Amino acid sequence: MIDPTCADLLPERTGASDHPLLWDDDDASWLTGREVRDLALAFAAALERPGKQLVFVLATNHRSTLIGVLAAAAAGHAVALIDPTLSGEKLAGLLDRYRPEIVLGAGSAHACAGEDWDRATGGGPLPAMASRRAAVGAGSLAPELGLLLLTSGTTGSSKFVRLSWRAVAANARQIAASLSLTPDSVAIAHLPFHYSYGLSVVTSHLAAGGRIAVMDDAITSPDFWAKVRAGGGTHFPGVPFHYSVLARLGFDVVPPSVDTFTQAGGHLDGRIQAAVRARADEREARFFVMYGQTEAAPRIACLPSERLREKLGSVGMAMPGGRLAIVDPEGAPLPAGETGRVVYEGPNVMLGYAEHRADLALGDVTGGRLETGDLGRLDAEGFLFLSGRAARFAKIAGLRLSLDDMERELASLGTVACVDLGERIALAFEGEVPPTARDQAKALARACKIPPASFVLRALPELARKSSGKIDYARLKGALDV
Amino acid sequence: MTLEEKVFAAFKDAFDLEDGIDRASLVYREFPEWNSIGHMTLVAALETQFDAMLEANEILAMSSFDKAVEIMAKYDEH
Repeated sequence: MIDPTCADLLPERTGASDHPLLWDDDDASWLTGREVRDLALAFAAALERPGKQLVFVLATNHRSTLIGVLAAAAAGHAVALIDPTLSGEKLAGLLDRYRPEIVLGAGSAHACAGEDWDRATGGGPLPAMASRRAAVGAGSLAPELGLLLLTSGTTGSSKFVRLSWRAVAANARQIAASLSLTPDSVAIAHLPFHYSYGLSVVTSHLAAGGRIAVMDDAITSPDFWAKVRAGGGTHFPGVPFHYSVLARLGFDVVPPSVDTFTQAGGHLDGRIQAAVRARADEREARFFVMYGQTEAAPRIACLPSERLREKLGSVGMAMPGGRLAIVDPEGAPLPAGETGRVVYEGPNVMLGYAEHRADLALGDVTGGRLETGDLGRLDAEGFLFLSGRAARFAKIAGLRLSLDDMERELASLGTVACVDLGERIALAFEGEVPPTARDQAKALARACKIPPASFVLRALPELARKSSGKIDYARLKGALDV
Repeated sequence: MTLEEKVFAAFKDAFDLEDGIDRASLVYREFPEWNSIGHMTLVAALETQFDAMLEANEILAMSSFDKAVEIMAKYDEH
């Protein structure tokens, strides 16, 4: 059975519309809502199988990626969005661990080269496809499973966040409402498709019946802003890196059609926030600061544009239909104004995590409640102010990097501790810095797509440890004296 | 230092390069480290090296090593 709403990602009024919906900078022409739906449903027929299957989508920023995702959802399958620039070795590891039955995207022919696969080339708005010739009995998928996103795509983590399509579609509607998106909104979809923020920009505009201009280009490219102009973009989404680039380039490069700026993907320096607010005011544009996690499909909170000045430093209020709470380490709720662990409840929370194919048969283990791993407080009006992280992730230029994964990657160097310094990561060694550490750090930076200078190599006589023998990162950070 | 050497010094800083690297391989979005993040690191290194402040159109036009040499010529006082 093919679902014409593509699991509610493509609402009836969007899919039946003759208004333009989808553009990309490769083809530079618009497909209407009806054309997108017709393409997705026709491709869904080619994907249809007797049971629910796992579809890996090597998600380039091309409109065929969206058609592929919609088609897989319409055919009742689960989709894992994968960074198309992942190394062959890492991709092979994921294929081996999760055993997808179908792989979509330009890289599928290369990744699935053996005799076990049938391959079909894509063309125009349709993605290339590889599908297994014979069932591998890889294990069944939970009926509610929809989307899989890696917890930390760039460090080569193999741990997925399991989301239902219901949660993805609910979050798309929450975001569309929070930003007051309309059929006139045109998303500048330049963030990677496999990145939860990038995907949510696309799904929220589908929910609002707006338009999506997909761009496979970077804000620092000479043609970027001409393409935004050509696509008529109104909504520029960016992580802190993009706003520091904009602050440096000056807002004159941004075409007048852009009337909405959104920021997520980590903390944006207060001075840059104030500067963006001022430039946005000058052009009568709106600027929203937001907060989320892949585990919440991903948006958790949004700061309304008109409250930014008064609530500077806040990441906003809970999504409509969601609820934020601050709790102590035992889980007891704390009153407004007190700092503790941030917990979010809502219809957009994940089902759970997966580390192997077998985990994809699991149902919901969260009950709609997410312990974010962030620390913060709520003010009397319910605005969230974050103050730090309890979890072991660093953010560089919006990329979420697992420090534990990095330690594993560098384990051949001996005992090494990775410590988040805010836009930089310290590699702390016990004794002295090994002679090959610089080269290994450089290779890791390259794999993670961050500048080599992101790593600060340090040696300490000993690394601070807890009584359990585990590294005490708080004390270690103090000892680094940075 | 010649103009080209000064520009190369900034590239070395930004991308941690060896001296012998083929300079023709230094192309934006082709050379592995030269992504959008690397681009801004490079701009900062060039500005430090030349004690200059680049214009937006110059930052966006800097798509290869040769192009960088061409752009930085106007900031080269020696």
